[in-house]
Amino acid sequence: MISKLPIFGLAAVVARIAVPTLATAAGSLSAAHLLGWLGGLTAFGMTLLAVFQEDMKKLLAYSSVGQVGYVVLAMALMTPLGWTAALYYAVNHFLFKGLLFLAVAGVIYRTGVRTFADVGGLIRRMPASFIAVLIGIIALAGVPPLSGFAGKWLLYEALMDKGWLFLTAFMMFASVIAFLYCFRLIHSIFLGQLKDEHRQVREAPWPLLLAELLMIVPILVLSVRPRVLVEPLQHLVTGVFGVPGVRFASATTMTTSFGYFNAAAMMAMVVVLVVVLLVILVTAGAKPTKVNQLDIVYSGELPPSPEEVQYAWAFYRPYEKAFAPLLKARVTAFWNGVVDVVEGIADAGRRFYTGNAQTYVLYSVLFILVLAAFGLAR
Amino acid sequence: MTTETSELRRRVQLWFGPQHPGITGNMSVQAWLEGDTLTAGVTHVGYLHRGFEKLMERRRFIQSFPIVCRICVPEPDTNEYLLAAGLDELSGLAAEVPQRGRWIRTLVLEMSRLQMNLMTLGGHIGAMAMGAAPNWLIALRDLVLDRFEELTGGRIYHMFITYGGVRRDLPEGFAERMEANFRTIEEKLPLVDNVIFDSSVFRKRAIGVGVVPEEWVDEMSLSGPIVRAMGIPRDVRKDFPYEKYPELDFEVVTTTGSDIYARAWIRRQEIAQSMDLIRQIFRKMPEGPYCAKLPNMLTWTIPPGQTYVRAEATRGEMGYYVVTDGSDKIRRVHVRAPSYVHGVALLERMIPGTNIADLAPLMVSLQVCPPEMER
Amino acid sequence: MPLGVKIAWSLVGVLVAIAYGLVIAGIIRKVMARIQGRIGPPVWQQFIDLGKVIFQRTATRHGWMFYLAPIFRAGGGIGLYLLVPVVIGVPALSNFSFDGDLLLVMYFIFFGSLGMALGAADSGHPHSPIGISRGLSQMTAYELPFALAMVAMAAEVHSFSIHDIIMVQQGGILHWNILTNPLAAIAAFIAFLGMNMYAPFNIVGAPQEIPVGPPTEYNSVFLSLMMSGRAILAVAKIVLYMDLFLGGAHSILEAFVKTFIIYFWSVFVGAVFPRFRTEQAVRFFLGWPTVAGIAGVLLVLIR
Repeated sequence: MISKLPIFGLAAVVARIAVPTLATAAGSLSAAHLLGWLGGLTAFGMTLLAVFQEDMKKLLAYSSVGQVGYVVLAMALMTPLGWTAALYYAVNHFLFKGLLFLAVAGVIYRTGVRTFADVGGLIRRMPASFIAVLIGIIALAGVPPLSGFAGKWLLYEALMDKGWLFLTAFMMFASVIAFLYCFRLIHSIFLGQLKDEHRQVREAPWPLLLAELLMIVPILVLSVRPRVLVEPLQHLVTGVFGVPGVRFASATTMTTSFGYFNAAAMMAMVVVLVVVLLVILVTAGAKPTKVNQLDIVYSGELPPSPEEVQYAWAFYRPYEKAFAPLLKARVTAFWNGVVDVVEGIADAGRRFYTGNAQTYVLYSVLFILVLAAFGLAR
Repeated sequence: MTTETSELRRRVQLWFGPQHPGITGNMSVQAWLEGDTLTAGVTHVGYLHRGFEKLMERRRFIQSFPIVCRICVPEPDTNEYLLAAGLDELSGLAAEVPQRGRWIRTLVLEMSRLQMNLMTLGGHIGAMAMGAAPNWLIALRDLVLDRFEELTGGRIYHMFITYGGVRRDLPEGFAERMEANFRTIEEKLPLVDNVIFDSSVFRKRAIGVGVVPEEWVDEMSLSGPIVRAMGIPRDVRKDFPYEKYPELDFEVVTTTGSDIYARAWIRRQEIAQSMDLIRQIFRKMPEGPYCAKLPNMLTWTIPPGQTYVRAEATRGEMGYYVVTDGSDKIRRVHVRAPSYVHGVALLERMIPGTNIADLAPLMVSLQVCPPEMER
Repeated sequence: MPLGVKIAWSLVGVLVAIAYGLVIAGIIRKVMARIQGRIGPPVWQQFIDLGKVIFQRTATRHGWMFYLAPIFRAGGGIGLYLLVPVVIGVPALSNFSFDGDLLLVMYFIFFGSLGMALGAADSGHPHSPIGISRGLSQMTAYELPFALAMVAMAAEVHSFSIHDIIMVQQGGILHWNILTNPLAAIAAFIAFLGMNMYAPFNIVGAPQEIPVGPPTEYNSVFLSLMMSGRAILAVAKIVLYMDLFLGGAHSILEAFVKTFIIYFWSVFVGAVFPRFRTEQAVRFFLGWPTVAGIAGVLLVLIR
């Protein structure tokens, strides 16, 4: 949440200083374009790093940095649509990331662990926290029908409108990578096998659940009517640019120069589909018997224990291998470079230390003389 | 707050088998997975419930032949030959086996090597989920099985080689029909080569994967294509010639690399080699009797003695240690099967560090035949 | 057109699309069998399989999230189909495509995948998360060439509306996007291989490794819903590709022919390749297909 403060600061600064100078230079490789790529690379890099975390809070932290990258990128667009997207995204991110942090805090509070491999199957003990995280990750991933999609939609429309085609595709790629850690977050904590020491864990304390509810309600409202938030933001942005970016074709349909999106229809469609299919599933066929946690098809052998059946550690190892050239070699090369520079400086510095006491005395005398000279000059 | 994540929680226990499409038969591999890499594995047998060696101690000699062919289902003839050769040697029948009988034994052994290699070559790519090539190769193998059916009456279990020779002479026109089948096989094989050895995906998956180090060869007594894929020309047919192999003209196929690709390539070359050898056998085979005059099978006894006979199966060196005590039954048989070495000792040592996706191709490429471990 | 009539037509469309998806899968099983030298099952085998799982007498379930996977898989497929116009000019068959543009369609593909992943993971079987980890990894990888191709298409007409993209392709085969921007089409069609999960990209199910991936624990009606969902998802994707690259369809017959050809592209590739390892598949998509996609976008920028 605090990470969002600089965004508003940035917005204020950019609005004051940069707009008159930079907005004119649109199209060419301007400072704004550079800032855009910086935001894009932040979003991609931090999302990628979040995927490989083994700690819940670290994952969320990396994810937050990555999300700020999107906001910076949208800000750098210097168009009314881009700014609407940035502000919408920032507010929305505040909601779902706050929700996620609260829910994960509840889990950590009750279980006392924060590594993914140490929890699992908590949906049976903490269903309310599970639903909170579910809503949080669907909003974060930008999957319709929740509010996150409107943010992504505004961002892509703004990017296309500006003509930054490569950044659009790059951001689509980066935001899909977010799915990886979203799934990891919810699976490793809540799904899979419940461990024996967590059989008596209680639901998160009610003040925490209340706080989560306070986040969930706006998310659901925004999911059905993003207009509630987009319209006031439009007013702000119009104040800077003079023209609005998003138009409202009907009460629920948003349109831009590039596309259209009807959030309420989307939500209605999903709800109807889910209800109809659930009814089909429950009524048709034989009545399913609920089986125990370890009653699974296990190649004809016995599953040993919940610990050894839960797949949680190094969840995306193949993905890590695929990106190894990007992750390891570059980072290592960078730090090797840093080490080289530091060593060079140190090496240069080492020449002063000859090991001869008389030289050191000379240095001291010279230093005092220099100080005295400064003092006199004043 | 943060606790150290235990080793137990970092890894997942997975069972490959007994009910698993990636396992090579009625065995299982209990493996531990961390990320996508297997950190340890244990081979388990015990799903067969037979005990071949013990069964043979309670049977007359002729009754043992329907048992030994079950020791490796896809390639039963090596087992039949080895039991027959051991009994020949102990009873003194060896000197009476007629020349044509020995030629037909060699023919049957090569035919069985041919059909086994056709199947295993398909298995290499089948374990990587390519359906077409294995199916083509199984269809080609069926042509060889047709000839087996014609010769022996059975497609899988032949029970054809007995002590003293073989059970039956070749039918009329057998060589011509075999030649026609070979022409079909040779016509289709380039297509198979194309989808296996020229496939970029197979090369990516197989080259450099499942490398067996050379120092393990003598330490674990490895044999067969695993050794020949390292460039060591070790082959029982050349090193300790038996039956009519000394009179046949062939070179031991070797290559380097020692990976899955190299072993698949060895098997592909041995298919061509087997067909060449069978053609030579048909050219060189003399006329005459095919079996020695056999004693009454119900009362036959063999004087006390012990012997070790060996032959080259497609998987490696196969050996039978046969002990008789003068009665009408075998006292003890020990089957030295290559799969025991390759499927237990070698596989368990190769699993740490193997990608989960490479386990099935690795097992096929080591050519594990589970009944041989649990005989 | 009143909303009720529209919904009724859409319902008919959904049922036809499921049937078509099942038939196409049956034909593919037959073709695969013939390539492999087998006779193969009859074309209607998929219907028999579907009936078999529906009428299974025993059914088991895990937690309540277990219900989510079939619902989201089928819902994702149906929803995707409803957002894509099937035949141009016929309001009954353009579904609800005026409620969302290409971006919504692209994200709705994930709706099914993510929901399926969540439900399947609740079964507690280790093969489910391993398969999901593979599937999501591959999904992100083919998303890059796919996104580049989509951006190229949208930039060409300066609109994310699927209708606009179809309309610009009218007037003969030379106007189709597959010919006007072949590089983007190459990127998108290679991404299609990953989307359809035939070899060499069938790493999610992978019977030889993790039989059979995410749906390991599913049975009975759950599985039948999942099969229908997969069928309609496949149809929705090929209809989307037809709209984007082959100029849409003017009649139902044309739609059948075009979608059939698109689907067979992945089958013909899949028949003769073994499977990649996960990291190899990811690297593959980030290699030449991505270069083709970038070239496709450059082509739009130059014009």
